[in-house]
Amino acid sequence: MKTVKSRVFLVELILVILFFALSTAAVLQLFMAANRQSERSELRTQALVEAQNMAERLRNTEHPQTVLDKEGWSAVASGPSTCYTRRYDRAFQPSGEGEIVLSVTVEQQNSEGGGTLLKMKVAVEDTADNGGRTLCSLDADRYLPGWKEGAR
Amino acid sequence: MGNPVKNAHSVDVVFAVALFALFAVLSLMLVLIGVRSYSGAVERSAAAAQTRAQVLYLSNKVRSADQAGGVAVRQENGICVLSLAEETDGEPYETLIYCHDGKLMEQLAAKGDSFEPGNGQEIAEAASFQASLSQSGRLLIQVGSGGTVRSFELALRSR
Repeated sequence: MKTVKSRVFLVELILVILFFALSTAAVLQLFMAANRQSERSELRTQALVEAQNMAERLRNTEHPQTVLDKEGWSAVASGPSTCYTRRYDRAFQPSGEGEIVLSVTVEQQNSEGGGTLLKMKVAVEDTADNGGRTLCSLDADRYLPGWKEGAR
Repeated sequence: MGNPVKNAHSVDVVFAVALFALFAVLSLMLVLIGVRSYSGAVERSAAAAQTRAQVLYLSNKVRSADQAGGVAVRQENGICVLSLAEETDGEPYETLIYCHDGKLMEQLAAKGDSFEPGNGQEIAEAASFQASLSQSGRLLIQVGSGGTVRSFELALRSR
């Protein structure tokens, strides 16, 4: 009788542990998802600040493309627009191998009034997240009166 | 020789206790993992909120006061103060933003009043606050907290 009781207890304990293991697997997945969301949110806040900073710098610069060229940003021309990029690590410190890419896409349009409209888009992308996820994107258009394309 | 029946019972009991102990240890580990995950999420959330308070709030305040002569930086009793001018009922007032006692403070005062750092309202935690305004209208603000200094710049439209 005692043997039967102890075996029943053992089986019950094993079932409890089995249920605990299944629920642990589910709960751990939730913890990991919560952590990921929290990290993504923090990264997005930092990305917004950096993009805003960049947009303000471009606004305050006489000739944005000249400044970007001088600072050594990687430039790729594609049709009428040029895309300047720079890599950062996850703490938003400049890093050649960083996963965060800050890009400035500049498109020049000469206007009939004699000036040039610079249509600029500042974007921050996380290349390590699902192959590339845009964290934020800002438009920073600027009109330069009396400045013609090519006259940098 | 021992009693084989008694030995079998001892093994049963030991196994059951060991299984129960394993269950207790794993439960404790799960709780500890949960605590660490939750505290990490709370810390990151607090840091993001502080960034938003310091950077985005200040940006919006400066933007709303961005008019000719509306934004100025000066030193008051050795404290760097960002002054944002406004007019209410024809009377000139200014919003002063500065760092005092480890806090970023904001104070609305009539223009020309003496500066009392303790009279302000707390905005966020900040160990230091520095601002500089160039002739071209580039306002550079640096706010230090938690051992790091976060800097951001604004291009004043009024200059």
